[in-house]
Amino acid sequence: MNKNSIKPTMSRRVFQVFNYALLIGIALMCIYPFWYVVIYTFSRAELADVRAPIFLPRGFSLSNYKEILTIKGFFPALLVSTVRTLVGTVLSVLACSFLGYLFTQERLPARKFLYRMLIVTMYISGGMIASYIVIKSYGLLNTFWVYIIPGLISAYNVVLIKTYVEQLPASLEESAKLDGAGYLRVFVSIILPLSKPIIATVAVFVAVGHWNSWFDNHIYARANSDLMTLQYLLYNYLNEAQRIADQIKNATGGSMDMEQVIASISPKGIRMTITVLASLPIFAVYPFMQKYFVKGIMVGAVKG
Amino acid sequence: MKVKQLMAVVSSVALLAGCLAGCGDKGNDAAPSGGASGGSETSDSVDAGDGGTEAGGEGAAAQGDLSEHVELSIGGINLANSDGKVWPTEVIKQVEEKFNVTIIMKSYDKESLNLDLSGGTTCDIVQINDENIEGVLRGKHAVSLEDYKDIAPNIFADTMQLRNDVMKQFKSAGEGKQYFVTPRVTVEGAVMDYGADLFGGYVLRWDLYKEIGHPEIKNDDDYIAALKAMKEIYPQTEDGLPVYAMSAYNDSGLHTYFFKGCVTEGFVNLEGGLYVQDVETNELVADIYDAANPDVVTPFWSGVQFFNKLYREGLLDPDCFITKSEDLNDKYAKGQYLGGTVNWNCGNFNKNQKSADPETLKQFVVLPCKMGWANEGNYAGWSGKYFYVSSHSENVERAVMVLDYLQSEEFSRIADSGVEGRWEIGEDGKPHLTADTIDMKTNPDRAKEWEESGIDNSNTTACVGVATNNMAADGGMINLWREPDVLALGLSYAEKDMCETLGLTVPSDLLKNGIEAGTNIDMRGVNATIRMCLETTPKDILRIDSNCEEIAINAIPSLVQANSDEEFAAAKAKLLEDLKNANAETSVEWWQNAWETSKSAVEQLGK
Amino acid sequence: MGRPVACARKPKKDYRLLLMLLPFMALVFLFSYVPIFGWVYSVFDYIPGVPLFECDFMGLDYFRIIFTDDNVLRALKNTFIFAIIGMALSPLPMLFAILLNEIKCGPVRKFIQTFTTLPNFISWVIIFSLAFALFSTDGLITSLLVKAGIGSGTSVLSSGSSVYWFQTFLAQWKGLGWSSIIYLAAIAGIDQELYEAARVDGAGHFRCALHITLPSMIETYVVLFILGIGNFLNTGYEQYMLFKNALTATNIEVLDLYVYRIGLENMDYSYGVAISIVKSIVSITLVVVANLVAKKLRGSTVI
Repeated sequence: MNKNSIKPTMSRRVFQVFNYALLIGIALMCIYPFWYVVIYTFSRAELADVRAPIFLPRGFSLSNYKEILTIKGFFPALLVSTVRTLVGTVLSVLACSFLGYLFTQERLPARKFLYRMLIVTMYISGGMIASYIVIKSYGLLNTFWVYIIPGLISAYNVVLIKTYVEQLPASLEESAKLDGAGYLRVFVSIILPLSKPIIATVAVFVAVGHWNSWFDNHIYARANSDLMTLQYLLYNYLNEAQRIADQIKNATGGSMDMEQVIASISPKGIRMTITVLASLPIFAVYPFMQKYFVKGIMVGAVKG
Repeated sequence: MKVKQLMAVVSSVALLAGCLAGCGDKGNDAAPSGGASGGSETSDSVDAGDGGTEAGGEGAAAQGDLSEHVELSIGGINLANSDGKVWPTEVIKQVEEKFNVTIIMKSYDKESLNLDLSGGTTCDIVQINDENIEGVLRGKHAVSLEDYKDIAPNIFADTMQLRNDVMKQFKSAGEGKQYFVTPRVTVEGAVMDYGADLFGGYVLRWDLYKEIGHPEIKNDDDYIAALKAMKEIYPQTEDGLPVYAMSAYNDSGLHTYFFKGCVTEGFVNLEGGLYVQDVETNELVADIYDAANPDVVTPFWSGVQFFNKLYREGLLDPDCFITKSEDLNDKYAKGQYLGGTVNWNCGNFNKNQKSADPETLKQFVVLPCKMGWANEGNYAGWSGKYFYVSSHSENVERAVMVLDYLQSEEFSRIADSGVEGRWEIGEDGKPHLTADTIDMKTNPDRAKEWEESGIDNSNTTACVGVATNNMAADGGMINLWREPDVLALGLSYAEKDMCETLGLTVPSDLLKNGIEAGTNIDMRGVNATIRMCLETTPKDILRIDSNCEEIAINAIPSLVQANSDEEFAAAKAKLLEDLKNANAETSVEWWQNAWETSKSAVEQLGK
Repeated sequence: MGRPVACARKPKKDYRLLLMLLPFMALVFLFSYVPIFGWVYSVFDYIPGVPLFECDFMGLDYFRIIFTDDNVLRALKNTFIFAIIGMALSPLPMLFAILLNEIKCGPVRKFIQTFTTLPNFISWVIIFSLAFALFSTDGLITSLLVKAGIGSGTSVLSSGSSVYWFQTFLAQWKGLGWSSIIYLAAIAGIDQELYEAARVDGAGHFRCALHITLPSMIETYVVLFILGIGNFLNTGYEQYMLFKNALTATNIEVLDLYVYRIGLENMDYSYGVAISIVKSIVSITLVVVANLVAKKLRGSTVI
């Protein structure tokens, strides 16, 4: 509270009240839909069918969760998702931050050209079929590494890190170089510690990207059930209804008795439960990452 | 210092090299096709595929060899993933043991199928629809089944002759070879029946319909009057939610509208519903752009008019244009609808009410429209569902054997009625479902067991070769659930009440009686083969059609929400004008020609 | 490639840096540049499964179709509207971060920060079904509005005229907290001494925010803004696909959704590639122009 050494003025107080109200309001707007999903998963299916819960579960039942835990492949998928998130995040953050640092170096030959080459990749794509054939010819199809390598370098994250590093006081790096430190040394002992906020941010982006990714699983690793990720499992559940709707749309002739097929769609509760379970780990980790955002850095302290 | 800088370079190289090396190793382990590694970037998919075929060819030397256990994948546009489901079911286990394989099923969407075809990485057995036939044939992705004739006796059974001829003549890009098989082939001598109940027609809440004195429903107007009377006595649900007659499942395009019209007017639709086939004359009719036939009421216009009447009576759900199939499930479950055009979305409501009170009358039942969607003779099998064995498969032979077994009468029976033991040969020498099996299906406490048995599992039944209503060699129907003595056992209390009230044995008797009296029709007159033998739609026509469909979908609200006949006529005129501007006439002309060509070719085939 | 001789005022080039960079650029080349060979699909009538060179050669026909296709025009209009609204609202995450930074009570701040990122983790499919529960005619919010005498009782989901603001609202709601993370990081990077010094000079909270917090984020904002300009036409399709219905279709179909639709429903893969090539060219042109404008205004390029 030492920051409040100046006496708050009247307008300051009004602002604070307004600010708290606004932000808490926004937060509540964000919480409610998620809360709705959560209470739905704890409701008894037949009660939730008849009247969706509003603030509290309708009846209480753990049957959705029990059902999920018996799904064959749930735990392996959880494992695959966890491993890819850990491996992918570490490698990608290291690669992107080192690359971002290199691009800040004026002495890098063809710096602007190469940097722009990287940026351009954000806006071009050869189409899905070409990507698929390329991945296939590299032998990455249906391997674990297809989750990690193609997306290892993200132009966007490199830009974020480069922009951040450029804003750091140049004097630090120069004095270290005068002391004889090489590029890698400067990167590890000066740039990385000073860039904690941005590294944490990028790490959160990358980790969440990995955790939520199902598309690479869908197109590059579909044939290998051992590589199924949690989000792809969820996607399959979420997509069921649409898939069947498309079938009806394109159906003709005698094959139209869809009652069975529609009845085979997994209930809403199951899909919502996987949504909840799939977002839990992010809750477990994200608050810890926040300390890197909120802690301001005393550049002076580093200098000293 | 220099050492350190060098280390920086080395370590960054090592980081990447490590990754790449790691992936390379993995790649060799897991990538099934040998052609995957080392190919140039633009190397064509088929090169890699040829490697696979050779591997299959070697296998062919040891014929009918089942000694090696292999994994087979079956992937299809109309199949669901086996991952995360109860799998393998008892039915599938039988196939696995018989052929020493592990079977997995994969669902293909268009995206993933296109990728797999481009990369030559399809499942061992693949199910596609008409769109992909050309790609599969021109890219040589399918093996010619005739090369494996001696291990495919069921595919080449005499009863499949017509189907096989159709496949050879129309689905081989003119080569005259057989690459595909279709499921659910109707064989001469199939039983003409209607099951216990219908799925499409005038859907009604039985309790309310009974309460208003179950007035006879002969046409749409009677139906709307009944719905109106029902709404008067049940204006809102027990929870105070408003009640409507029905809504639409908008995620299936125009299906709600033209399907209602099909059963009312006696048509069967082609994919997408822009064109329909008259069930009595087998003529092709342009469904929406019907400017040429002012006298014929086509399904689309019939359906739209019906919904417009509902709207004007204040019976239509105001969310009619935004509800998707899933929202319907919810709203039916909440009791907000009194009727419908199909019973697909009533399942949860029926189930919940039944489990709350086994003797409830609160159930949906289906009364027939003019046409009952039943008894279509698919003598060449279901169209739009073609199975083939991939030429990229490492186990072509085993895949052919499994596909052949799926086509067999034996497996068709198992998939519909359960493995042997679930049904037994009775004293009359005919097969009968056991009492335990019947209990398992109807007893909600045994739902899990039922699922594990794999009986009537939609994923399995989509693959079988023989239609449900065929007679098997043992004198029973393929689907024993359709035997007359079983039909009545599966009825709910409400359905039994309905039969008692209306003097029927099973609900579908309404249709049967109507057909005998000449007031109703079924689909027995339809020649489904004409639809199957249509030539591939060229891209420019496809583009026009998809555009027309989009225009029609977007015009629905103005048609359905027309407050007067004039408004409706104006909206109709506008839609027809828009379709004309979108070149609908070109499309109609192409389809009419294609239809005539196909029709005469099919007539030739019959001779 | 780069100039071999360094300008006099610039430091000497160090090729070891290039050597360190190369492996990474090799990856970029392998996974981002090699697949561009796929552009060749646009001059064929590609049928998935058929070897490319056996497909009919179309020349530039598909590019011609783009400019005569009324649907493209309509989709472009919608894309422009969404993109412009999106750009107008692009400072919101930054503003949100500043406001959040003004909340000095730690737990409250953490609470807000954590929970506003929540919607980012709910997939659009689920969001649609939530929106249906809340905004359909019988939905919670629609009926509340009617009870409060504000609403007309018609669902916002079936209103073609509310498409733009409603979809923008959903997108902002889903992304606001998440997008603000990057600005929170920028705030965290601010040298605390600056604040101390300003306070000693008698600056209030407001002036601190205006003169210290805001400027330190502007650089990030400008970079993201310019990158965002390049994504002008890339709106994605998932959200719009789910909320599309007969009443909203005319206004909601953006270019990406249209490409998705024709690619899958008409099997028009090649046409889709042709559109994506044009989009790439437009994107890169926009970024280059934005970069030049930035140079004019600020004296230095951003990219």
